Amino acid sequence: MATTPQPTVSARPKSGNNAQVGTLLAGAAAIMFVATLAGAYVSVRNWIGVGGDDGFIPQALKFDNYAGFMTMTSALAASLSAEWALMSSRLNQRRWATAGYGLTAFFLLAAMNVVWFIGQRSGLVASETPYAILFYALLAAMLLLLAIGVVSAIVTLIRILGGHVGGAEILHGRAANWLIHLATAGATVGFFLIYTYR
Amino acid sequence: MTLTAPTSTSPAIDAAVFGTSVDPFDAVLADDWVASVDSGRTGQLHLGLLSAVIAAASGLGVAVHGSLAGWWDLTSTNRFGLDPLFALHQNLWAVSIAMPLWIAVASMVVPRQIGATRSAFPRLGNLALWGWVVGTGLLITASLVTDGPQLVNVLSPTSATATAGQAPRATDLALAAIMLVTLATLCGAINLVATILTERAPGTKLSTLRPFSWSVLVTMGITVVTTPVFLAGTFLLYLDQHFGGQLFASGVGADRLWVHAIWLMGRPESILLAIPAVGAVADVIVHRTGQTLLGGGAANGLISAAAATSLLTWAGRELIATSSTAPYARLWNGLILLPLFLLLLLLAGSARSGLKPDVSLLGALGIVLSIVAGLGLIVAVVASPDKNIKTPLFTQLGLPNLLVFGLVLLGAFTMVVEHSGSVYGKSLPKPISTLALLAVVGGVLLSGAALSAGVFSDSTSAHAAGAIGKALIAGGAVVLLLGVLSFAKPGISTREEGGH
Repeated sequence: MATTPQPTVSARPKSGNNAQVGTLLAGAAAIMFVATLAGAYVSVRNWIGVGGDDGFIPQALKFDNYAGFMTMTSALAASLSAEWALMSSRLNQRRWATAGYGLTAFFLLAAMNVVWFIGQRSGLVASETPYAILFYALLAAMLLLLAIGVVSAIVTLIRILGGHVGGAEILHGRAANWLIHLATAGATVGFFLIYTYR
Repeated sequence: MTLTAPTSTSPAIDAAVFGTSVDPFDAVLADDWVASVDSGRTGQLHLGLLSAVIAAASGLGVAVHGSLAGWWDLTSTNRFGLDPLFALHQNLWAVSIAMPLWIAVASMVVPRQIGATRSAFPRLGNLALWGWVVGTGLLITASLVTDGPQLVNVLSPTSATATAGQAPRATDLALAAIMLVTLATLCGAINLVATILTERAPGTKLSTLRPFSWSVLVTMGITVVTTPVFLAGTFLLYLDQHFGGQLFASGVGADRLWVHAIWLMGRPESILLAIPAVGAVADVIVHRTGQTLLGGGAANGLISAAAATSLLTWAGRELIATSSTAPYARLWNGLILLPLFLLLLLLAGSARSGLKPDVSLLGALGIVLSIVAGLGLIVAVVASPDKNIKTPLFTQLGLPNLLVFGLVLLGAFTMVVEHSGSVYGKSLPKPISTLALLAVVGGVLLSGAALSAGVFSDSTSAHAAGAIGKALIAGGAVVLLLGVLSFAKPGISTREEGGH
């Protein structure tokens, strides 16, 4: 028989630890997904080159910086309110925590709305340029991450209302906040690539 | 099943949202095959379905290679030629079989090796299983209903892109199916890593993990960061094909994106998939010698090094024009395989202390032979003065059969035979396990070596030998499936090691 010690079965660790580890792993996967899209964007941009009639970005495309900036700002506001909500939850201020996560979901939904607006108003035809495919792929990734953030905020809000998150029991809230921050990071990366880096 | 007291004031919500707490529902679901929270049960169901898909995929290989060998003519019965069948055969192996097979076997074996009472995310485990079922079904459907040549083949070093709006509609379905299976694989990998990190029995340190569990931890850990790259690449390809875009028709999309995000042999998974197989050999040696491996934790260190260096596959700058032999047939890329080679030497030294005979040793021997044959072929191609032999056939057919899918199949079947006692409650009968392993070992070596040798010799006879090899693999899978089915019984729950 093997000489390795044979483990014995006993009580499991607390489930909050699982949630944090799972969130970290899912977060790493999401980061790699966005990083691949960002890498593809940069690689194709540098290969095609910018400027000129055959440049990476179609000349007819007009950037609405306001919309892009609002996406990022809304996502950043969501992250801030999520941290405020978690802090309130830790202090057992359930009312403020509820308001905080409600506000977080609202900000994230607002960001999703702006991303949708950007996609609709861009006027890009997907079949015409490689840029259009990458542009829509980035918007789709941003929408997906923001949607995950909305679900996380709403689930945490429900758990706070049910008294399952609060005081010392905030591990699940912390895990949810990581997902919300991930959505913010995704929106920021998308904003940087589309509006700043171009 | 051992149930522990709920750890939260809200076990039902805990379970619904995070699936991490044992609640009364779990006790019911543990006896349910469809939504079981018992990872062993999920793994058994997954393995049974996988065995059927392995047999079907190998059967497709027999049909295609038999047609290429001139045994029969499938091209006259299919208006799109062999292309859809060949693409389905390769996509099934690359997407629906390779990593899911490790996840299924690891779900059965690893929790028992680490003393876990359950997996960290049972619902995620279920999602991995049923996502795989639906995705694989859609992938097969896409190839059967295609209205044109199948444009998606993740084992092809070159992307096949259609001009705007001309892609077969089934291409969309195939890509969606591949994304679904990949997502399911990601769920399974996250579940396994989290289980090993958080559900170990008290006193079980990571440093004392059995080699197979350790290899699963590092392989799945890196899979969590490599799989999304494939997912993103497939997503871009989906958008490109669906809207008739020009991303993959342009130089950089066709070169870099395809080679390093979609083509299996240009991704770290081409190495990662082999690592649990080596872990399985180490596990069998530990079990059969009754001693720890030479060098203490050196084996686990080398397994980690092999997994880490697999990421170097992304560093290769092969373009489509030069990718037919990449990433292996270069000295630099050969360094990626160095930890695996050192690990084999270490295992050979450990095995010298005397092995207790068992059927599983047959599988371990097959794994070692497969690696040696694969490495030998790489050296032969690199050293050959005739540059013309570096054809796509080499990497498309030969090496994946030996070093990727062959090792996955051999490793997984070896672990099933080795641990059937603890997984199924009693060991598989020796005739069944011997027959299954003999068929699979023979099939992998024959098809891998024959199809690799096809670049050196007459390709017709190589295809004939390949067809025979794949028939053996299909036979081995069917035998194992029948053996496993005779063991499937209700009420199986988590057990500790020791059923041997």
